[in-house]
Amino acid sequence: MYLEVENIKKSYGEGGSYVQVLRGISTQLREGQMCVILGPSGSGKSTLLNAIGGLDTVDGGSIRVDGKEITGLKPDALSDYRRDSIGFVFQFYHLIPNLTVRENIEVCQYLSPVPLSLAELLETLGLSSHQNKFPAQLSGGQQQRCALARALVKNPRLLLCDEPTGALDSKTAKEILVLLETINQKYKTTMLIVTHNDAIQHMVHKVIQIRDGEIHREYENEHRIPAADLEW
Amino acid sequence: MQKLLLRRTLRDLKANVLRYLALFLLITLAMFLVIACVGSAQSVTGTVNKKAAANHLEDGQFGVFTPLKEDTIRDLQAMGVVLEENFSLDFSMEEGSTLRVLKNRRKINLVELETGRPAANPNEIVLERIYAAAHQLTVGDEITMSGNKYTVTGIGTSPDYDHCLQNFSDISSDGRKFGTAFVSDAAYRALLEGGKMLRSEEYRYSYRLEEGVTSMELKDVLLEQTINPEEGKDLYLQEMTSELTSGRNSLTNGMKELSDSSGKLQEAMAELAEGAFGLKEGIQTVSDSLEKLQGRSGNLTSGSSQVLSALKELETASEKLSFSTDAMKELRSASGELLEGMAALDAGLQELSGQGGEEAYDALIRQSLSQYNLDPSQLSPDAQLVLTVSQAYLSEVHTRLKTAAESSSSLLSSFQNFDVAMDSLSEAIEDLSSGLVQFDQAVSALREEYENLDKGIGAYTGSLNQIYEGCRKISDGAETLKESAAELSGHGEELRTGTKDLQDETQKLLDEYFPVEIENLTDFVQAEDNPRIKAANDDVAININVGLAAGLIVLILITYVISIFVIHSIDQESAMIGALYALGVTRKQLMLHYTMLPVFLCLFGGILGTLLGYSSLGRNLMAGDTAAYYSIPAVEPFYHPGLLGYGIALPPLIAFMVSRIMIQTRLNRSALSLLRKEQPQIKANVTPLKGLRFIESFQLRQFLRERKCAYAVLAGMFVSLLILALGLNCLSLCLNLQEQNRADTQFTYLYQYKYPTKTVPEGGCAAYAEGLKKEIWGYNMEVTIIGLDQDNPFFPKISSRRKNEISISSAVAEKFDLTAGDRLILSDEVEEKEYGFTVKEIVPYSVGLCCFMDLEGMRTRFGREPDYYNSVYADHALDIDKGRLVGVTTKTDVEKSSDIFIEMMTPMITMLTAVSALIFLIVLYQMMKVMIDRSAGSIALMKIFGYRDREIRKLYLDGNFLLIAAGALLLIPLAKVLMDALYPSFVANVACGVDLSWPLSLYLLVYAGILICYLLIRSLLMRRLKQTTPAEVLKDRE
Repeated sequence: MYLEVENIKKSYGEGGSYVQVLRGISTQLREGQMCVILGPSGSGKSTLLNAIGGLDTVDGGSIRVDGKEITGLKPDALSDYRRDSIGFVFQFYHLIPNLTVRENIEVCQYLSPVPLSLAELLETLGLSSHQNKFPAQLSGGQQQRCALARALVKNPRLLLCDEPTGALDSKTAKEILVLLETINQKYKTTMLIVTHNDAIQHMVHKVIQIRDGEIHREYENEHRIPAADLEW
Repeated sequence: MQKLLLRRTLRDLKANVLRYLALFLLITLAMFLVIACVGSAQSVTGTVNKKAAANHLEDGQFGVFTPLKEDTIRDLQAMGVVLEENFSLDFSMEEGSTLRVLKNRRKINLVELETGRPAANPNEIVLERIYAAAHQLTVGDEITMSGNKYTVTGIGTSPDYDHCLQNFSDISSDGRKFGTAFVSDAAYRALLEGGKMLRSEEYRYSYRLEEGVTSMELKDVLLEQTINPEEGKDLYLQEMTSELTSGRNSLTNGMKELSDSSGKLQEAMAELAEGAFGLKEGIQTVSDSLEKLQGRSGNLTSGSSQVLSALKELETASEKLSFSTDAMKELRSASGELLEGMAALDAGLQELSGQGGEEAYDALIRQSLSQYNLDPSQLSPDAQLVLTVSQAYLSEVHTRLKTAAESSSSLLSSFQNFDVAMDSLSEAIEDLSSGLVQFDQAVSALREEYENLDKGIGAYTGSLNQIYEGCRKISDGAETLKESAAELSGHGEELRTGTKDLQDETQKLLDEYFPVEIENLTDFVQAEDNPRIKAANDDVAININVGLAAGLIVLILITYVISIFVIHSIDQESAMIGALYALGVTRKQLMLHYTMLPVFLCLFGGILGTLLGYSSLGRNLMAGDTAAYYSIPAVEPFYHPGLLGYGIALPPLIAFMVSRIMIQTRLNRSALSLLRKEQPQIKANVTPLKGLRFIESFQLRQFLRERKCAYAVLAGMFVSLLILALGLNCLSLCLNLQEQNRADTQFTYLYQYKYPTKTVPEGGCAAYAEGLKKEIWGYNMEVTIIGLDQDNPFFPKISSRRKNEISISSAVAEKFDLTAGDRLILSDEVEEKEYGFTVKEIVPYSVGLCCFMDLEGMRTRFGREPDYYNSVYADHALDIDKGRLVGVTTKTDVEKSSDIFIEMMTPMITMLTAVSALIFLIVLYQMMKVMIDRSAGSIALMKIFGYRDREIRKLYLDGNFLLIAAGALLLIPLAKVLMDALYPSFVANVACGVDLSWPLSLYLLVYAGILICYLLIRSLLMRRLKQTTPAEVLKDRE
């Protein structure tokens, strides 16, 4: 297993404001698999994603990525973990506004000793003609593609996407999903996607449904539908 | 709603306490700087002015040779002049200082007592504050002066000795060396009568003018007052007046002599006329006698010719008398030879006759026989016969020989007598011959001499004729002389009368234009020209200028910083503002909310800064040294409304206006735009950065994004550098002045004369100094022209020779921005004249504001005597009577005056340096913090991507290093150039050059200081960078 999550727990606050966000979640993911985490707001899906991404700590449990335990790692080690293994895509893109498309991608290219070809990536993501534009000059879809390119350029083995289509219209969202699918196929990147969009569960290898901090349902798709064919 | 927003404001303040504290500190510091600098200066000025008014500061003062007469004083009082004697006596104190004793004042320049009471009894004294402090004297202590003990009853100041200079010409004061004291009239009289003062009593008057009277009118009246030279008690005054009147006396005496001589001449002319008449008579008599003599001189001529002819005949006869003495000589020779022959014959005869006789012959025979052993008796008879006959014969022969010998001797004697007679004859003949020759020669000589006599007689008669002719002409001339002398005698009388008239007219002329009376006024100084009065005000004037300028600069900076803050706050809270807008909160309410914090921060910062500036801390920091140096009353806080407004109202007002403008601009956006946190559109044609590596490219993008903050940092740096340059210019000016003064002051003693001696004291080098004025930046600066001999070793060599050429010192060139060839106009305010000079050259000399001229040229230019001087420079102490001198300046005095600059400026330099560093640190911290805060999201993002802290620092902070490093390289020289241009106006009232050059090390030090400040702030902000977590991004997720 590339990703092994075992009984992780996470809570916030004290006394009356105490909230247990994750209540012992365990799951596994093979390398190259695309996985979607579904659930209502406040169910803990983003917290789980952040914990796997090393952005947030957990109160208990274990998270192993490629056999390496990441819980309990010190900030610097976590930073190296993210640097070497993880790519992030956010709902609101979080592009650096004063950098051009190309420069935003270079931010992560700089971190990898063996990055992907930037030109190829730009071409793949349809950004070649926009590479010298600033984020404010791009549409939402273009910005998310840029964010995707930025996440992929260092060729991460695990791509964590938090509501990657949440801020996009359906057409653009589908384009992004197609791209994710293409990338998965092309680079064999393991992907963990947090979304509200139920339709996405049909294009991934594995689906995890969370409710109130627990895995409500977990299954693998035997009949995946290509992203281009998804409808919602 | 407003209450809610207020609550939020307080929470914002709490949350960003450091940021707001820094802003508060910046404003507090800025206002402290302004108020401490300007307020303390105004407090000094206010105190000095207030006390001056309260103590009836004089409008001016003047010195006189002799005290004013009662009627003069009455006249002056009648015209509206309030006068008070300001007479003084200088005493040498035991520890070497000089104490100037003055009488208690009643009307003008009243003493402001700091402690104690006025001196009332003859043994009491009030001391000037700085002197008392320097000698650790307090009320109740005793001092000994002029052999008497005095109890110190009070310590205070007098407004006419703010700058307690012994002489007006002194450069600096020193309480250890000089001070003033005030005693009762009785004590003063006792001191005067004691006569132990250093020099005679100084007669000075202080005056105050009532409305309608001017100082010039008073001066005009005083100039009319003259003194009888004999009235002056000062020996040197009498000597001076004697010298002054010597020319006039010489002229008067000369005219008298001329008149007397004219009388004598007239008398001599009358005698001449009489003499000429007698001469004519006498010459006539001579002429008559000559005529007779001429008639008789003809016989003398013919008689003389006959004598000459007779002499010539006698000469011929004499020549015939001569004969030869040769025969006599031969005869004498023969006689000699005959005598010799006779002597030889006689000698032979004498010898022959002396050779024996019978006995000798017998002895001979016997001797001969004995040789053959024969005895005559044994001889044969024949033989004996023969022998006997022979013996008989020989006896006869012998007898005859003896007779012959006797005859021969007689003959020889006769011959000898003959020879002696021959000798006498010979000598007689010789004498005769010689006598004949001499006779002949004498006759010839007589003839020759007579020939001369004969010629002389000829000449005599010729001359006699000429004498006669000449005498006849003399006779004619004597007639003319007689007539002319008679006429001359008549004119002589006229000359005598005319000369007497000339004498009378000359006397009138002298009385009119060169009156024998000397002006009583020695000097006239109006209060504004008096270097002792309100000198502290001039000194702190620079602080007011500097403080206001620095404050203005800092306020501009604060304005900019506030604007950045406001923009940052609104950008950060864009979504919230949009939401509030959407919810119906009005722009006015939001405006109030966002302006409240900066306005209150500025208000309280301004109040605190103002309070601190006006506190004793601020006053002492800036005015402490002024009060320690100048003899001014205790400085009281002086609250100037304008400055209070500047300190308290201006900061919040600026904050309000800036916030309002900035907020208005930002709040003009729609609620949706704010909700979406839409950033202003970046121009599409922004040139992509090509050829740069990622890090450089990112740093450049970051710089471009945060350029406003960068500009604020640069502005902060520039303002700090300006303030620092101001402080360091003060320092460099002082240090350069100190160093150059030490190097340029070649003399050890400078003696300034009041009564110069006729000859320059031995070992001294004479010079002529004149103090003139030149205005700059509203200040009337004194420029001293020094006339130098070409061999004066104490000053740079000058090439100015003409009376309109001048060599200016480097200090004058710097102060008045002059170069060679420029025209320098200096004014003499006393004489109300202007002098124009052509600047011949600039010579290196930093002490004071000096120009140099050729001594002779200067004397000519200023109408002085060819040997005039009033200053003597020397490399050792000279023995000069103190009474002749105005003052003595030593090399130490000059050096000390430059040291004083540093002492005075040190607090300000320190404060400006500290404030400059603090401002830079605060602005740098604030702006870099804003940069980081604004980039918090992307920094968090970088952390999500796996960037390490070191890499993040490189991306977000190290770009600023380049900004700071490059900015400092540009701004240090720029600030220096700008401050160099402004600074001369700040020190316009300081009489010195303005050499503001910094050594390279100082530039490097400033540069290093800036980098150190940056590194310090960077290390502080690294903590903030480390504190930024990926959660910053995640917060924005929704």
